[in-house]
Order: sequence, then structure tokens, then C-alpha cells
Amino acid sequence: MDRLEFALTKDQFRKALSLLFDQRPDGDNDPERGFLALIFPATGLKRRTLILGDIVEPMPGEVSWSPQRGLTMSHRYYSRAMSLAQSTSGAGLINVHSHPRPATGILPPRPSPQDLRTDQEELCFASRAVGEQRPIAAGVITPGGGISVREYTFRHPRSQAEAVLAAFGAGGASFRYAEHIRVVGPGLRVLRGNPDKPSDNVSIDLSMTDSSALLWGEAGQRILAELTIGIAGLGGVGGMLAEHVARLGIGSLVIVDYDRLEDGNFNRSQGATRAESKSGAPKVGVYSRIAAEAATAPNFNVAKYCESVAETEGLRPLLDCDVILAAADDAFARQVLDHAAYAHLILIVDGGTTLVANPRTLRLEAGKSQIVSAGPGHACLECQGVYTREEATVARESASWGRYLELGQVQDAADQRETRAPSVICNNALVAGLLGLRLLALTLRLTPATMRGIQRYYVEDGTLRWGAIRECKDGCVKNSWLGKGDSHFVPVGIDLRWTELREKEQEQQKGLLEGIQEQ
Amino acid sequence: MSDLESQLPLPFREALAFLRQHRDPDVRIDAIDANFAYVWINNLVKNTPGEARGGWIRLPVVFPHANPHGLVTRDALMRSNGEKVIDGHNPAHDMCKPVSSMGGAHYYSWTWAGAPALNSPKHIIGVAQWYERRIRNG
Repeated sequence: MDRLEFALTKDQFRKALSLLFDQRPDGDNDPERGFLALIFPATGLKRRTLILGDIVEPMPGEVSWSPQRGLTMSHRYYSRAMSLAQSTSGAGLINVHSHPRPATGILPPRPSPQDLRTDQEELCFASRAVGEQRPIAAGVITPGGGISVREYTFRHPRSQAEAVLAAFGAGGASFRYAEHIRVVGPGLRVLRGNPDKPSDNVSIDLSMTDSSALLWGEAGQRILAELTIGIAGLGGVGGMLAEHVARLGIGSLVIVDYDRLEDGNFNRSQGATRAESKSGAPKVGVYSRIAAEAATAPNFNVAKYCESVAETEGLRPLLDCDVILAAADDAFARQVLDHAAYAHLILIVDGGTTLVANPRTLRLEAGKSQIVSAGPGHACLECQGVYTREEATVARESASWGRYLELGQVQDAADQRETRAPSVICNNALVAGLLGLRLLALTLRLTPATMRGIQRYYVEDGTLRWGAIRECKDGCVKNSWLGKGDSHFVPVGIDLRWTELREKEQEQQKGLLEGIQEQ
Repeated sequence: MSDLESQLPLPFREALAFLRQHRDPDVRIDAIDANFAYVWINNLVKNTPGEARGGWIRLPVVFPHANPHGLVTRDALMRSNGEKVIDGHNPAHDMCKPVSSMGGAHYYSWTWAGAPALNSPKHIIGVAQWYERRIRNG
């Protein structure tokens, strides 16, 4: 795993700051305070994130500070927290304490040598109690909101002889810092987490971005250059977005799509060449080329995955992202991303267009584009009506079910051949533009009023309106898996359309090979 | 736990354990076909004797995050008034294939649309009851 990060919701961040720094009515004026909390690992392809879970609030006397010993947490307090961790699937433990200085600023604080000694002793004991596979970490927070988090690794003895060796005790601990701290919901704030690398070393090229930097400054441009954005689905909308986010100055892009270009979608494949269309080039190859050529961030990188978002192999690289732009237009994929958004604390912005044509007159009957954000601090995609559970079920049934069927063309169930939905590049551009603006609202707070909710463009009358839903409906359980990371089962499965395409391509390759051998 | 069952995600296995404990200890998985598992329940049909009382509910492997979809039985179903169930009845449908070697021959394409939302593995009990009622009412 390349990189370690720490993530928490904005509400948890507020609660942590309140516990550590608010004035206490009991006159507790200790210079440092602390608490224990659960943490959950959330694993992507190249990123491991530790997510803050429930905070176990200390009772009076369970956390104390003295000049000689610094901050200490009682055995009783550890015992309560460890019991909770042991009884919670996948949970580990984090010890968080405050540093009174610096009073302002968000630079990641460095733990003192005394902190490190105390942590190692207390956490070695905790690690043995909660089990080897559970994460163990420590964090420091300053009044201004600077955070550093380090994950500890303790060697667990396999025999009595090993148990008495120093290498298997507190002294044998090693740790690494989380590089970034993500505070999620409804916007996204990414803080530096490693006190060994407190300064910005992200390079930006203002000569290419000066016009947009007039709106968000050099600081905003650096925020963009540090982001990893995922795009799920590279149709008309997703393909354009790849270029848009690259030109905005995003530092890293992850694109996932299993499809190939063809003449039938050339009219909305912005930036693709005729040769790429004729040769049936994989979309991820085409749009990674376009994004790389368009990028304004000097160290831009793009990772491409010819996979389905609805399957584990396609989802995992997206779990490395700070925000996922969902343009997959499929209820199965949308449900998978909806789950991942809450469990892994990743914001999602979903967008798409539905155009309905009259099959006889070939005129537009109705049409709607919509853009919606989901994840911590937002209503989920399901509650906002982006997909239904039944649509997500039907999309799992066959390669063609749940997809658009041309009106009047379906004779019976056996004639469920794939047909094309009406699509116009101009509608795709509208959706891609609104998705990009929503991304800027979430990450730069460029237009805070547009961070949440569903925005709909009604094609017939050309109006853009906001939907009413801002909260999940009663009975929605998404918040029960908020921040549970790998402990929550994300409902990935088998994308039958991708399976069908793969089998077809394998057959073609086999035929090609046999042809060559015959010659 | 059977080999098939061990391939299923944890929430599904929790649901099966709950169903065995509270409804039918002999519940088993007879097939997994892509995204759906065929769950055999012995006593779904109340008005038919013997083996014919059982049926395979098609449950998504991601249960409870997707809905049940269809029922496969050995014999054609009868309503409580003795009439044949015709709604969604597809004899020898492709959906029977995964369990056809075990006698699965009749597919009822009943969806979960309009039924109560499923959010917990424990809701599998409600699924079995819903199918039972659906069979009774045709």
C-alpha cells in the first residue's frame, strides 16, 4: 500500500475539537486533554485510510495530565474502549490528545518524545488486546485544527520466548504518519498530516491557470493539484470530464470504464479521433491520452482501469480518490458508489441525462439532466431518487435488463437486444459542466450554496431547478455504515454486460489466433 | 457450511443463519448464478403435500442491499382456492436452469416492487413470509 491517510467527518472534527479545547465548567485547566476512539481501515488499491469511528468519551478522572508523566489515560478507560473495539467488527483504537500550541494554523503537530514513549507503552498493550489485524494509532490536534496521525505496528509474539523480547514489546514499535487528513462533509478539506513534510511541495503552473486562479488564488490551485479525482464511466459526460478536470489543474485522475469507442458513440466522444473510433480503442486509453495532453498540473498523472465500477476490480482504484465523479448511468454502479461514499468517506457527484424520443415522429418527448452530490453530509443517491433498489436489482439480472429499450422494438422477452438511448453531446456538455462546478464547490467552496442537493435541467422548457431533498428519508440506513470502511460490505457483484463483452473479445482473439496459425 | 454458502458475503450468511434459527433449519443454497443465489426453503407452500411444499427463492448475493427476484418450484403452484397460479408463471424458463437438475421447472417472475424495504439480514424472515403469502393469494 503506497499511502496512508486519515479521514473523519466534519461533525466528528467539531466534536473532537470541542472535547479537547472547550472551556470546562468543572475548571479542568490541564494543558493537554485526550480521548480514545474507534478507527476503521478503508482500503483502496494504493491508499489505506484510517477512519475515525465512535469517540469513547472519558469519564472524570480517566484522563489526567502531570508535568512528570504528561497525559495519561487510565486502565479503566482503556478497558472500556478496548471492549468496544473488540465487540465492533473490524474496529481498532486511536489515542488522540491535544497540543496547546500553536494556537492558530493547521500545520500538522509533532508529538513530543514523551508522547511517543507513553503512546507506545499504552498502545502496545491495546494492540495485543484488540488483535493483530486491527489498526492502532495515535493522533495530536492543535486548537487551530492542525492534526497529525500515526499508525503503529507492533510485533505480536508467537511464543513465550518471543513475548519477553524487547522487540515484541513497546520498544519494538514502528509507526508511519498519515500523509493527508480528510475532513469530509458536506465539502472536502484535505489537511497535511505528516509533521515531517509540513510544507507545500506540490508544483503548480500559474501561467496555464492564471485566469481561473483569479477566482481561487494560488492556494486554491494548490488544493486542486493535491486532489485525486475518480471518474466512473467514460461516456459522453465522463469523457469530457476527464479533460475538464485535467485542465482545471487536478493532480491525479483515476478513470474506470470497460467499454470501447465505436462509430455509434463518436458523435459524443469529445477529443477522440476517427482512427480511435474505427479501431475500437478502449475508452480508458483514449481519455487518459486526452487528459494527459490537457493537464495543467505539472506533475499530473492519470491511472486507467479497463474494469466495471460494479465489480471489485473497478471499485478499488476509485477508493483511492478524494471525490468520485459518477457518470456510469447504471443503477448497479450507482448503488455500489453510494455505499462506498458513506463507508469510505468519499464524496460522490453523480450526473446524467435521460432523453425520451417518440419512436414514430423521432421528436423529443421529454428529457431531463440531473446533477447530485452524495456522501457524508449529503442525502444518499437512493434517497435523492437517482436509483431505486429495484432498478439496482434488475441491473444485476442480465446484460441488457434495466438498460434503455427502444420503444416499439421489443417483441418479447427474448428480443431484449441492446438498443441505443438518444444522446446529444450538448446535453453531455451541460452535465459535465455542472459536475465540474459542483466539484469546485465541494473542494474550494467556490459557491457554498451549491454543494448539496439535486439540480435538474428540464429539457423541454430549458429551466434549471433545485430538487427539494436535502436529507435522507426516514428509515434510510446509510448513516449506520458511515465511516465503517472495509467493515461494511459494498454490494459489488458481477457486471453481466462487462462479462458478455469480455467473453466476446476473448472469442474474437481466439478466432484471430486460430486464423494466424492456419496461415 | 457448504462450499456454495462459503462463497457468499457475510450479510447473506447472517441472513441464512437467522432463517435457519427462526424458520427452517434445513434451508440450503442449491446454486449461485452470477448475482443471485437459489435458496431452498422446505415449507413455503401450505396447500401441497411433501416435497412440493418447497421452493427456491432467488435472492441477490448482496442481500439485503438488493431485492429478491423470483421463485422456482418443482411443481406448478396452486392458490389456496385450488386454482393454478398464473401471474408471472414461466414453465421451463431459463431461470430454472441452475436448479433444473434438482427438479426446478417453474419460474415465477415476482419482483419485490412495492414490498417493504429490506435493510437487515434479519429481514429474510419477512421475505419467506412474503413468498408464502404471495403463493397463497396467487
